[in-house]
Formats: sequence, structure tokens, C-alpha cells
Amino acid sequence: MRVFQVLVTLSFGDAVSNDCFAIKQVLLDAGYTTAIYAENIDKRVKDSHVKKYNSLPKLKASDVVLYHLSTGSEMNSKIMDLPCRKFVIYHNITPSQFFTSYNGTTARLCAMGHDETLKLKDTFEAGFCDSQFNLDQLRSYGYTCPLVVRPVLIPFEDYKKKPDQEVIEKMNEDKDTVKNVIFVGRIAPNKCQQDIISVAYAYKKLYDDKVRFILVGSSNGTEKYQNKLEFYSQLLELDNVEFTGQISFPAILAYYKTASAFLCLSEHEGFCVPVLEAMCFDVPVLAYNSTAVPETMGDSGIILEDKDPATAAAYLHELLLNESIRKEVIDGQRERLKRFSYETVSKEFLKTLEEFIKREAK
Amino acid sequence: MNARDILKQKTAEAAVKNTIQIPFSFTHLKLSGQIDTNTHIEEENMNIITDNELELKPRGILAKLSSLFIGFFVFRIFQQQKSINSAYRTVCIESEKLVLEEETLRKRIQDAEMRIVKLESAR
Repeated sequence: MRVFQVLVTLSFGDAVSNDCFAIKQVLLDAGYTTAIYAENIDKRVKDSHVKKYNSLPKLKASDVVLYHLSTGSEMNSKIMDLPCRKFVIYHNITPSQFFTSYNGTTARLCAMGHDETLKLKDTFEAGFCDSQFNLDQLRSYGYTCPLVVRPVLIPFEDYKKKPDQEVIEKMNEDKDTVKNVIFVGRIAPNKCQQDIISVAYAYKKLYDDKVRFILVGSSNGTEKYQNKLEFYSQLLELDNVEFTGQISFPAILAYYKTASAFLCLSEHEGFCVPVLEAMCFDVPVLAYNSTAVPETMGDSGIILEDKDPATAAAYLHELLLNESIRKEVIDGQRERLKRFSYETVSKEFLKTLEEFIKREAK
Repeated sequence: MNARDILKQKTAEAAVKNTIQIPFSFTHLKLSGQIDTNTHIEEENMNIITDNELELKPRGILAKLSSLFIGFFVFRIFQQQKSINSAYRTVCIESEKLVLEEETLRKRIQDAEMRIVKLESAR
């Protein structure tokens, strides 16, 4: 049987693309004929199973297309007309208002994505959602087809690769006096990196211990937002806030490896992979209670109920210095991580997909 | 009590909530030349900004004349650029021809010199 994955953009290192590659492997291992078709493909992607969307073969009614829905695109309307069985994998779409001040094109794409998701409500036979939050959203848009929660597939084995030694040495240079607090994720207004800077300011005012706040992530397309963040940090006279820009995978691993805490104050996440990545490196997570974040964290890590910078700084201070709390948090995170193991999630995915396929086609 | 409860309690005891005021509001922060959500834009201008079909056309005799003048000016620049390009191409071709000719002449001189040497040795 042929099962194809279709998405708008296959880039390098983002959660949707990584999920797509992981699903491809699961499908190959299960004996399906599969390939990934994307309209835009990052030049760094070297995979014989990745092809341009316009080379999609002639589809039969029995073929299956798994459509990754995560942005606005003309492809969203093309998908309606494919003469095959269609299942959606919904990763959520960032509300456009986050981007209106910074990038008109992204804001427009997000708004389009929202409208197109509504129009697609009767297109799919069934669907996978990264989180209950995403599933509830599709239900509120009028999706009546069977939907299941299927967490993003993360090949945690990849995180055992060798981290960038240069970054490790740089971060560990003053490890006895300075602790590293990181956030990993592209520089984007929905991720609210400005609130992390505010916490850095409050921390500096309240406590004597030194903490370095590192914002790991690319600012491609959100340069205006990054400029404003840097300006904000300068105005607050903070010399302990660092931006890494786009970096290699081994460098990201190095930042996780040398981090003492992971601080996430994002206001919109459909799943939030970095939280699990931090857990994978035994980095205690402190995250704001928003969208799908608490669901991904489960009972592990620490949830912030409000964004008051002083309160967040106090939580962070305890989390950094109180060894018994750190140990309990890390133990809880290790337990939580089991839920998202590659084996568990891939088995669940395959089982559900087979159930979907067995159902009578619409 | 789990870690979450302990932290909640400890933070409550520390009573730090709302004790730190950030002196600058990120939302109201403006980089020069940047339009953000707080920038006041007149309703009529807003319509112009959001209108996808909008075409910019000069209105009034002066604007039309200026537009024509600028159009003519740009056209002249385009024409001049074209003629410069064509002249440059001619120069390049001529230069290549000269190089070839130089090569041919050098060969002839060499041949002539050879002949002279042969003649002299025959004498």
C-alpha cells in the first residue's frame, strides 16, 4: 500500500519536518511504500524519499495521503481535490495577531491557514493531532471525522550524538559562578522571548547569583522582533542575555547539555518539543501555563500560573539552587519522558493509522 | 507535597509578586521607523494600507507632469544604459579580435626571423 506524506515546507530541524522524517521511517519499517512530497524543500535535506510536490504520482483511490497542516498555503486547497484517501496531521497554526507588528507575510499566512483549516473540515477521513489542545481546536472548527491525539514523534536517539565541544567549553568556562538558563525555539513573538528578558531583569534585581539567559533559535523572518528584543535587553542594561541565532544541531545539544534550567514563557504552542528535549537532557523545566504546554509536561516540571517577572524569577531561583527540588523535578521528567518514547509513539501511530485505513473509505 | 507545591509555597513566602516593575514596556517600545500595534494610523490610510487591489496613480496635473517627467528620465537612463552596454560589447569583441591579430602577427614575425636565420646560415 502507498502512504504518502504531503506538507508545504520541509525544512531543516523544525518540529514538523522532524516529525515527517520520523513518520517516514516508521512507515518504511512497517513495509509501506512511502515518500514525502513538499512544495518547498530546504537545500540541506538530502533524502531520496523527499520529492517536490509537483512530482506527486498519479494517485489511486486506495492510496493514502497524510497531510501535515501547520500553515496557510495554496496547497491547502489543492489537497481537497486529491483523488485518494486523506488523513490530516494537525500541528496547529499560530494566531496571526502575534506577527502583525513584525512580519506581514507571516501574519497573512497564519490568517490564511486559519481560514483554510476551517474550509478543510470535511476533507479528511480522520486525523492525528499533536495534542488534546489541537484536537479541541479542530473540533471547535467543526471537524466531525475521527481524531486522535498522537504526540510528535521524536527520535531521542539523535540527542545522544556528540555535542559541539566549542560551545560546551565556552559555556563551562565560568560554570562555578554562572548558571545557564536556556530557551530553545525560533525567535518568534508567540514564544514571548521578551518575557524571558523581563525575568532576567527581575532576577538581577532580586538575587546575587549570576545567571546567563540564552535564547537559542533562528530569527529568519522575524528580524524586526529580534531587533526589538535586543534593544529591550540593552535598555534594561542586561549583559547576561545572549542570542545564538541559527546554529547547528550539535551546538543545540551543547546548550542543552550545559543548561541548569529551561525557561519557556511561550503563549502559543501546539505541542512544544523543546520542553521534552530539555527533559531528555535532565534540565529542569519551568514553563508558563499556556495552550498545549501543560499537557506536554503532564505532572512533571514546574508550571508558572502567571507571568509576573519577580514571581518567575523566584521560581527560577529555587529551581536553580534547591538540590532536592531539582532532583524531584528531574525524576518526574524522566518518568514523563517515557510517555513520549519513540517506540511507544510510533507503535500508537501505526496502530491508529491501520485502524483508519481499515475503515471504509468516505 | 510535590516539587510544584513546595515551590509555590516558597515563592508565596518570599512575597516577591509585583515587587519588580520593569521600567520599559516591551509592547510600547518603538524602534525608530517601526510601525507597531500602538502606532496611530488614520482610518482612510488604514484602508489604503490593507487594500490589495490598490494601484498608485498620480492625481492632479502637477503630479501627472512630474510622473511623465520621471518616466521620461527613467526611460532615458534605460536607453543610455542599453547603448553603453552595446558599446561595451563592441569594445570587447574588438579587443578579442586585436588579441587574435596580435597572435597572428607574432607568429609571422617568428616565421620571418626563422627564414632570415636559415638564409644567413645558407649564405
